[in-house]
Amino acid sequence: MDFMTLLTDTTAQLFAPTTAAYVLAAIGLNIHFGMTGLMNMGQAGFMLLGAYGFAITQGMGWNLFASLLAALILAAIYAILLGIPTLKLGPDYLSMVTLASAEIIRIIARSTSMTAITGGSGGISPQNFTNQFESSSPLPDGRSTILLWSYSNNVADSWWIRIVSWGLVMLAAWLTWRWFHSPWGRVLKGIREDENAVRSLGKSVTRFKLESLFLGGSFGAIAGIIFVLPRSVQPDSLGRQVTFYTWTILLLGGAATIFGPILGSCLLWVLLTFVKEIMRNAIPDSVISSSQIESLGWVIVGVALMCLVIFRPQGLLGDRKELAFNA
Amino acid sequence: MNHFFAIRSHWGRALAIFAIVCMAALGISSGFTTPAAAAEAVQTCNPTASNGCVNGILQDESQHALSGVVVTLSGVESAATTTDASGRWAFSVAKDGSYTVSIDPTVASAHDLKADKATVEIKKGDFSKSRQVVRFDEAQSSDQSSPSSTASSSSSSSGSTKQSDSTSTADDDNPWADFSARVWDQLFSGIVFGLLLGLMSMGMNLVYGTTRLSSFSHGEQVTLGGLMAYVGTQILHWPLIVSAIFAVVVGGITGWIQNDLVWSPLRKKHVGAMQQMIVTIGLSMTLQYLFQFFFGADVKGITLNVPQGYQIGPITTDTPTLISAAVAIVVIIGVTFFLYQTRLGRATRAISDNSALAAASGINVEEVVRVVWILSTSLAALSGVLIGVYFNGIQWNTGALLLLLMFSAVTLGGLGTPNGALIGSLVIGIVADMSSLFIPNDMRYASALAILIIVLLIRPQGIFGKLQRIG
Repeated sequence: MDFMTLLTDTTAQLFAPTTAAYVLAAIGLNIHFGMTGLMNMGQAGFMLLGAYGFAITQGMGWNLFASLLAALILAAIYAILLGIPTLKLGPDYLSMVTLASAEIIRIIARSTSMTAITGGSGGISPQNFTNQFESSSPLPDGRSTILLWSYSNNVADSWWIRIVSWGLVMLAAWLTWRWFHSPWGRVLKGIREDENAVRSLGKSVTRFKLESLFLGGSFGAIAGIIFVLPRSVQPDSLGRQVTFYTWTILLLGGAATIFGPILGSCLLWVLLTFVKEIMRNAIPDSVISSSQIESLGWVIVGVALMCLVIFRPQGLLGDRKELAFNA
Repeated sequence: MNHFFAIRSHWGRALAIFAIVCMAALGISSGFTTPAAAAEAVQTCNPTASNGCVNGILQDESQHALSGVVVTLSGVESAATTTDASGRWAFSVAKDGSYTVSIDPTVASAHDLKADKATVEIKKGDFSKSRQVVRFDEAQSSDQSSPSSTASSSSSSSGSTKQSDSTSTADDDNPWADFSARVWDQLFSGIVFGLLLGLMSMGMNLVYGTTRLSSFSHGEQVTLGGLMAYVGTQILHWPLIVSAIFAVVVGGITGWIQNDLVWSPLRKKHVGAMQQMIVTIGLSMTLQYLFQFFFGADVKGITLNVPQGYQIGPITTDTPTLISAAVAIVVIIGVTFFLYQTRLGRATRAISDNSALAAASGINVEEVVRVVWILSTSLAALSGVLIGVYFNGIQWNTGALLLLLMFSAVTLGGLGTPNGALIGSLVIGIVADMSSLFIPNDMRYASALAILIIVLLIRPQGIFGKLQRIG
């Protein structure tokens, strides 16, 4: 086995755009769950809406910021539609409804009758929506190698998308830090701990929950855009597994912490890539095929999620006393 | 059956319930004794003096291959296969005569295929009739299996343009009759699907009722049942009935182990229901990909030979479908009887009502919950077997797809009410199947999920749920 390739592939996950996309999705989920205690099981739905909102409007020739705005507006509408019927109900209901509606979005988007707009199950290929983003890059064309890693400057899985996505992660982390310590954030934490107490203070709990759902969802939508930019829009690649991954990341890093999502995402992807690479090289193909190794990777994530919730629900960085599992 | 319930201990009762489920599984067998078919599904087929070939490549109009679709052959001999990655399928047949090849009509309409059925004539040793190529993307319409079209299609694929002309005129003849026939067919399949869904949802609701846990891994329990039946029939070559019992027993055992190993300790530690729910998500992911690891990603057929369909009034059906439905009804009645007429069943309902009060009045809550877990996973396994037979196969993620429909069904019926689960399932099943008359077929599950959201808007406690302050 080539040790350098292993090292390069594994450490590349530390700053891969997909890792950043998951960080953003987990930050959004952190606002829902960590701050407000909402059990959102449909973060992938926000990501799908963001991805489609961005890609479709880009295909129509909109400006980059207009497309971003379209994605955010879609997320806002979705948050309101989702929130009004469910936020007054118990956490069981919210989790089921968010899961179901994320699935509805995916089913509708991949339907053959929507091919003209969403590309059906085939999705939208990169040349239809990434041009503006790539040409907005100030970097010169070509490839660059920094230390171990070599990527194209602007095209597809590029340095440019890495710069933008991790810039957004910094911004999101800073914003959540601000929000966590603002009066608004304190109301959210109050809702998480005891809804009735907050209601007795004259705060509109539903309004605060809606705001939280929207803000977390917007991060989800942006995560969706970052997720699809280096590849293509594929409805099935943003299924509920993505939501479950995001949950694992959040709980691994620690809910209700600022750096939890970042640590969780980097750690999960680095470890997962490392384990899969080792298995791919150490186990001959005749014993376990490469697609089976993919499945094993999922099994590892599933077991990790179970063990985390049972043995260390506060994650790596979280505070057990502040844990938001109140049902 | 009453003497089963005379056994005093809880364990005796647990076994008795188990026995009922097993006996129900037994009931499946009688209908599935299918004749030995000499036709077989093969990778590639070459006609010889002793065999003829029916084969084709399933693709949609834009020439995209459709893989994993079940193709069934009936007629003089019968068999079934699934299309491979490039959409290829082939049957080798031994006898001369006419054969009908069909695919799931829902697949056909989802991909705009011109037909879901084609009839061809095979004659060994005849140059033009020893191999018949069927193209669903340009073959004749499904309701046109009249002798004339049979003759034209038997002249292999070259005659296809002529047939599609005749199809369009035939369709114009009486669209309304065709539509009403579809209404009846969809209603019937909706009811059958609803019954199977009811079997799963009841188990899910029992667990929710007694422990307040919405189990995300219930779908995987369904898949497990189907896959175990596949192991029984196709790998161990047991008869279907034995395999079905095997699947139910394995399902029940997993429920028992799960409860004792995971859920019971978690309850003792007073871990919250939401936290436990996330554990079920982890479990669901783990199981799902373990299935994929061991069984691969393709559809596994439990029974490979395909029964003859027949007409009852306005609906077309076949024996396995009817028996699946009958088994589902018998088991549902059995479970209802258990819940309302036995001590253990009453204890279960008491715990659903008020767990603390039930414990205070001397009911051993942990024992009852264990029985509920075993019952719930056995029911899931049984429904997995029936679903596998009804849909002609089971896949690593079949249960995961059904999970959302179960959620809709239990929410519609009322969380924690077993009867509600049944009614909810029937509604969801019928709506999902009937909605394909009006909206594109691949969106039909979305309509069932939309019901979930509408119900929560109008009547969040569901049809049978008690109104209580939530949130």
